[in-house]
Amino acid sequence: MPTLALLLAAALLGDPASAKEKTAGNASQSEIRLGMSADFSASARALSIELYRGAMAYLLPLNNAGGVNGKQVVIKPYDDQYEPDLAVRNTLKLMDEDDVFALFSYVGTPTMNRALPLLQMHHDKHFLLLFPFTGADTNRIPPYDQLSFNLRASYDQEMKGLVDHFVAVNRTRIAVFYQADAYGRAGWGGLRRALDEHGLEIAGEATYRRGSPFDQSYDRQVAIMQRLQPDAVVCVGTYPACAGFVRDMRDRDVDCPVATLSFVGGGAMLKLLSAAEQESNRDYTSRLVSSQVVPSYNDESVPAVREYREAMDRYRDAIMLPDSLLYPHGKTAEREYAPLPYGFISLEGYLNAKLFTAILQRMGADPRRADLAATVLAMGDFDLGMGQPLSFGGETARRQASDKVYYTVVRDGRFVALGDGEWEAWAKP
Amino acid sequence: MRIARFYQKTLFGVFAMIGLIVALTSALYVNTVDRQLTGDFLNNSRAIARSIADSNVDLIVRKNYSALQSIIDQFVEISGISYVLSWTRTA
Repeated sequence: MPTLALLLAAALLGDPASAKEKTAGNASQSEIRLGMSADFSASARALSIELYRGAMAYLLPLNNAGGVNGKQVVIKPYDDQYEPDLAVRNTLKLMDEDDVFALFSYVGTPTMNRALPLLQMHHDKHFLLLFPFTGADTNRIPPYDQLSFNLRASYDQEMKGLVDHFVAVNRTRIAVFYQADAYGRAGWGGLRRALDEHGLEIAGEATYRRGSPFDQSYDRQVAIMQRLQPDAVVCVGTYPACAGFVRDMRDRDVDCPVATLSFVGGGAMLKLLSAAEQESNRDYTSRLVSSQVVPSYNDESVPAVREYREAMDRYRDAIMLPDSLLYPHGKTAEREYAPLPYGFISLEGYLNAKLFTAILQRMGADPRRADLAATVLAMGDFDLGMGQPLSFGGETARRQASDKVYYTVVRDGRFVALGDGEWEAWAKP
Repeated sequence: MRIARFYQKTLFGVFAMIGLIVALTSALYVNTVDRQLTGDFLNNSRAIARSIADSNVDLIVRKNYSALQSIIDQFVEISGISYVLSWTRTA
């Protein structure tokens, strides 16, 4: 009987070894773990892989030089295949088993939306979601705004900028092609609000199912656009579906301008469309405008971009994820991922890691999770070398550092900045 | 010969009667099941819509479309559940 009581007591107290590993909100002695749940193997994998690679291009040399106050900064990545249920499982694992310091650079709105209530459930442990790769409102307005910090501008800001520019050149009938889920709805809502400011309404809409591939036919959605005859179409999707939609639109001679949001993944979309152009000998890449939330990765006048390009060149092979995560069903030539040398998304990942490091440096030698939010809010104005002012905290307790939206178009097979004066060329004839 | 014809007619009548009864019963059954299923779907849909509306007032008031869509999507995973989005200029 006493033996049984001892066993029960031991079971209730838990494994002393694992208890030692867990640090109850302190960073462990040797490393600071960041938890990342993203799609590394399914339809949006290029977004997540590039975001991770960009972050690692910053963290690898940082760790090689000794880390932050002697602690290595480590990303613990889990694959969620862009599926909310898997994101929930990963988030619980990261918080309960891996005891990460913070959740970092989650990819996608539907996945983030399901993870945020879990953070609220664990509010006593002070977990925060830092710099998710989404511009949705969910982590920007109550009840979840206190659980997160953003570096990037929101979808509402991207959408407002696109609409204001289109309306200014007399393109007022704006339709939307969107993913039928929380991400698509976020973009749809942003478009609705932006048009409402001009007294306009969405001209029409077409949806697609999350995970739809490039090879699929989007004729049904294009037929809707043909019937609507919009002045412009805004796409709120991922790169395979948006690229497929643009291809089918142009094949059916629907030639109005098409705009995409930053989450689409311009680089990956351009890669698909350029390959399709070669096959069909048609033009799929002109009359495309892409809003971005970081400066152009080609603009070497921006100090952070110079640093980023240098790091991407130097650590190209060392910053890739393990094959076990990328190819859960085995690696095949068909599924092999060819990383992009540079891109908007890896630049955003790089800046996310740089910003997290700046925060960590302000937390001193013994960073505690409970102090993270206060440290970020105390940052005020700061500079990441992006060539634009950034700030957290202040009178409005800002939790989004940047409000800036950039616009790019494809010229000579690559994205270049679209200046404010250049929108005139898009005027409705 | 006369008896045989009488039997033939009776037999035909019996089969016709059975056929009619089967057809009527089937129609009645299909109609009842259809009405019951439609009623169940309507009740479930109303219950889901009401539970989303009642438990997410904050999201609705703040027009947090994305978070609302996430909640709707969780119900859509149930087989047989689909939804129609209706909206006005202000709501």
